[in-house]
Amino acid sequence: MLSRRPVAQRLLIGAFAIATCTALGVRSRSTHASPWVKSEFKGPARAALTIHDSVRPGAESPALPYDVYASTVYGTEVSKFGHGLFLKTTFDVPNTEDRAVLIVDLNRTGSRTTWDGDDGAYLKGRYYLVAQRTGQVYFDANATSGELKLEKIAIAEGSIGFRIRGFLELTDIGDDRIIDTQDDGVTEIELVFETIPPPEAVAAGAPQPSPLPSVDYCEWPDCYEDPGYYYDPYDAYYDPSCGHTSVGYSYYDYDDGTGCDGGDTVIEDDDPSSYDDGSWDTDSSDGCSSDSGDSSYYDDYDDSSYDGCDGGSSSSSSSGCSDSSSSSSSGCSDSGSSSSSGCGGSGCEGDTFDQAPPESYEANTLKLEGLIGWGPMLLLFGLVLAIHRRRD
Amino acid sequence: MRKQLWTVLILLAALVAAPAGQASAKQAAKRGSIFIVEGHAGYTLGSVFAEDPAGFGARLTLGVGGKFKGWPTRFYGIVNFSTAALTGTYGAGIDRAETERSWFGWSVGLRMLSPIARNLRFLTDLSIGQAKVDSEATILAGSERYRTEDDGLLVEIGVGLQYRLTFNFSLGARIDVAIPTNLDSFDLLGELAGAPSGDGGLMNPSFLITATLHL
Repeated sequence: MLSRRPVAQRLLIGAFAIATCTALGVRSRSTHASPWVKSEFKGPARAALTIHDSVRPGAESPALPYDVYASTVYGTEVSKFGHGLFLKTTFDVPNTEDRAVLIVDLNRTGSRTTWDGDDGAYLKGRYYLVAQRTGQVYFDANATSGELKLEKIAIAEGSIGFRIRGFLELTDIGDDRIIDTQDDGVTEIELVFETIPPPEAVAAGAPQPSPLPSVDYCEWPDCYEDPGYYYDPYDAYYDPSCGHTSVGYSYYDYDDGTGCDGGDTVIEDDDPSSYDDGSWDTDSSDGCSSDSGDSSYYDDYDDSSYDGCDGGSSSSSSSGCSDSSSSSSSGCSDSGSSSSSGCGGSGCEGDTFDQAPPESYEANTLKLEGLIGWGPMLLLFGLVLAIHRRRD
Repeated sequence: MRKQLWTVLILLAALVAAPAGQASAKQAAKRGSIFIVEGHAGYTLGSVFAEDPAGFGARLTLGVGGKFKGWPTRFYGIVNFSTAALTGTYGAGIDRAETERSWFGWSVGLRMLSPIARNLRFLTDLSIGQAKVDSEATILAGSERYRTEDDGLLVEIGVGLQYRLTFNFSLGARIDVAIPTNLDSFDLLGELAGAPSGDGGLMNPSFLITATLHL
């Protein structure tokens, strides 16, 4: 018969074992993240950028903004964040032919779908320029403000499509390494990243045209050669006549009718200060059209509105946000002749990106896992058993 | 505890040494050998990667087998452990990117060894296993550095010649191809370096010198 002392010892050792294992992670905290967070993916994408070289040391006036259409590469495994999304776009700067690189690294932790440019814990942005002749980096800026949004996402088995839209202000702090000084340089970039294929196609489970104009984005460093479509991120419309836009403030840098040379650039010829940046429609869901209800699509944000269009079943709108479940009075223009008449500002009714609160996807649970915890637990239980047998 | 460990080691050594001590070389030759320990070293091309890296490759092969009575061809079950350090460049000028690919693979399979002359044999290996690739890229003169990992099913095919210099030792040369069958078709590292994934090939060829111990 056992005495009381060994029993007390065993209880003590057992309690110590549980405490040790808890500390070492046997009972660790785990989360149920959304597919957006859990998924690892990579692939080709394309970017529509409007570059405003707003401030340059010694320059009297800012350079004219220009549009860039460039191929992009995205992948999660090279992100600096644990659950990140890394996007890299490389293109030639017009006129100088210098190389420009835009890198955006987004932290998806917490099912985050919006990122502030000044929040380094969730967004790292870098834009740098390399001189063609010398190979020297002469402008190296990091994101200091702005906002990006995950506009649409579609996750199917084996593929993912997403579109990210927003703008970033990137600041090169100059040689003095102090921000907000005379030698600072600032570039603002309005951007749209879209996977190839776009989220609408992934959601539909079949090839489907992107709501963005079907510009042929050729492989970097070359440019697309078909200028037949021009996507203007200001107004989210396109004009099939190269070099002639309906508002007349843009022209291509050559117009011989065979294509837009100089890459994918479009020079804005009016005063950039006349732009109202605030009117740029970051919420212009120019492509909410999609066929919903595809069973192959898994979206944790909203099962009924995976493309951000509630109940959307329209397939006719390429730039508007028509939505069969909502009336046409929702303000969705089917042609998107301008953002003010389309899904500008607050967007279409029922077309908002329905994002569930992140908390709902992070129901914290405790479960046993990890060899690092099980090892000591087995060891200590073995010790208990050994003492038991020795005493008996 | 240390004493027990030494005892085990001495016993193992005795087991290994005992046959050699008891049997003469002539007897051993009459009995034949069944084990092979083979080292390979040479030049490897990383053709599966778009930037076509190349570098030093090495492999260790362990095998056991023999021949059927009246049948000259020998058959071995083999295990391969291979590694390669491949470096490559892509682009020029400011677009130049440098990559390093570290390749680790293992595979199990079958070797067929056929005599074609007195001491000259022709060998064919076929094995299947797994390959793991650690990749690094330095882009735009160090402005960007990336690292990725990938792995996939591996099929290895090798042919070569082997000359048996002594009963226990052979020298040879061989050509191998390593076919990773399901590496990611989109090579993120290569794409970041500017090399389109579609430029990658199907297999990595290797040109190797071999030294084999027959035991």
